[in-house]
Amino acid sequence: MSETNQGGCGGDCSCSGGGSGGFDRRTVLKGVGATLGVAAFAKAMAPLTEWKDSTSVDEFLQMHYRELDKDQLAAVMKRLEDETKADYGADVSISDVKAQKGVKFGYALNLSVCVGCRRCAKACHEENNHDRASGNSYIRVLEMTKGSMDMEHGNADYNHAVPKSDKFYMPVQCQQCENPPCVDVCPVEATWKEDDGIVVVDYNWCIGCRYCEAACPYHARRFNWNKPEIPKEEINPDQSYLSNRIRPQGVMEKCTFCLHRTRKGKMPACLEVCPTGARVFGNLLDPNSEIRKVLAQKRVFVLKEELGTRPNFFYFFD
Amino acid sequence: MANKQNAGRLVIAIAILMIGGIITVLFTSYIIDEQEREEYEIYEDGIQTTWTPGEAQFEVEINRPTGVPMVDSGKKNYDGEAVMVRCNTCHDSKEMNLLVTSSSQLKDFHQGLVFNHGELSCLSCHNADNYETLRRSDGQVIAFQNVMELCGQCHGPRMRDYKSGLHGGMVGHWDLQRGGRKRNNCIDCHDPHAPAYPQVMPVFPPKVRAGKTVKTETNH
Repeated sequence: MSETNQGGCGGDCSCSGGGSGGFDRRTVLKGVGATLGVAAFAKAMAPLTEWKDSTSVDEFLQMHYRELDKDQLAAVMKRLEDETKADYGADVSISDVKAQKGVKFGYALNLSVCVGCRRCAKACHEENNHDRASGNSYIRVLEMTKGSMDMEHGNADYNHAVPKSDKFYMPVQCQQCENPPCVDVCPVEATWKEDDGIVVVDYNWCIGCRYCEAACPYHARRFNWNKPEIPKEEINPDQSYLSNRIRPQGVMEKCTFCLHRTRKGKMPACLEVCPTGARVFGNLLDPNSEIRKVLAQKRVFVLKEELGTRPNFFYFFD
Repeated sequence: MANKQNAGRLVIAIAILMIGGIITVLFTSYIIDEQEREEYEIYEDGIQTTWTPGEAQFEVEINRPTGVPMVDSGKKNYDGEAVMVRCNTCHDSKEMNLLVTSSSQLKDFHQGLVFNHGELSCLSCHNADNYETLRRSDGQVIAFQNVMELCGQCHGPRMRDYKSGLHGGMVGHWDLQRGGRKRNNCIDCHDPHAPAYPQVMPVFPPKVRAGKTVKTETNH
């Protein structure tokens, strides 16, 4: 081993070594390293400055939906209304409709009469204040080849006159599973199953990791890539905290069976626009409901039964 | 000895802290549980909205034709609007050929009427004695408003499904204790002369995403 290397300096360099004036290589490298480190740190932290503009202190300190008491929740909803007014110029009313006792929602869809006109997807888009630019909707209508039951082979991008004689059409949305894999994987408990069977998301608690999107076998969850852009006059003002209020950027969202409507006794928006009456909605706990008659009288199946998710969304044939 | 005493004190202090922590956690979780339970007491605008199976408070209304159907005469009035005529405008005074079974045999009126409803002919449903009414297969005359009764003669299983609420579009409330419901009539969706649901262009076409092209097919 050469002794010249002990000063931390290469043999050929012009520095005089031993720290007598100028910089030795180690100091320079340390300096460069430190500068790069500080720069990288500053760059990494830069989004925080933008975040400060878009997130208020109240929003940052807001607790989980289920930990908010009545007054706190009212304050949160008031703040959200004000933010919608400021951002979109629209006067909206955000409420918090609770699950009804003795109600468990079920949905059934008649594949024999669905023509694949996609009006349900459009109604969902409008009812739930989806981003206009991306054409988002909680419903994906799949064009399926007759004889096939595998939804993974369905085509959602068809654009021709429907129904085609060799095809059938299968709208797929959140199945509100009894055993929802999306809830299990959420690392922050931002999504859960309510007492009436609806799986909901606290959009202000969601961190946008998209685990739930990956976990859902029905491809039912959507991610807000952008802050939704909706013209002021197209915003649906009848909103609720857990369903169709305008979502922030970077969070997950999903079909809630229009709980702002259905928890007030109304039909979901996708059912009301269906021109063929393919959709049946109701209370699974009421033995006289239409949905129970479907289950009793029709040939019913659920999607991907083998996964054990136990959907509350049923498909049937005449 | 001093060291040992100090160590003992430290252990006791840590134990006290841990017990305190456990108690705090238990207490807070109990409080949260209480809060959750309270939240599920369901009130909306001060009214308890718990659901109890019981009598429907609101009615299910079925759409009905408002009167006799009117037929486009093919003429326009001074405002450019189509002149619509009642059935008996012609059928009262004209002698009908009762042997006509399809629209292609008609020479004067109902031109271009598309008929595609099984083996039926005009008088299977229309009443030759009074064209502003309908006639069932058993000869009973029924008004146009009750047209569903006519459809139900042949389409029994479909009618049964309709009555159970499994067929036909509707708007309104699923919960008849909180609001009414309006249901479609057979002929709101099905043209009685060609009842198969027609082909339509789907609305809300898919958006083109990066790396993906959407094919627009034109063949029908």
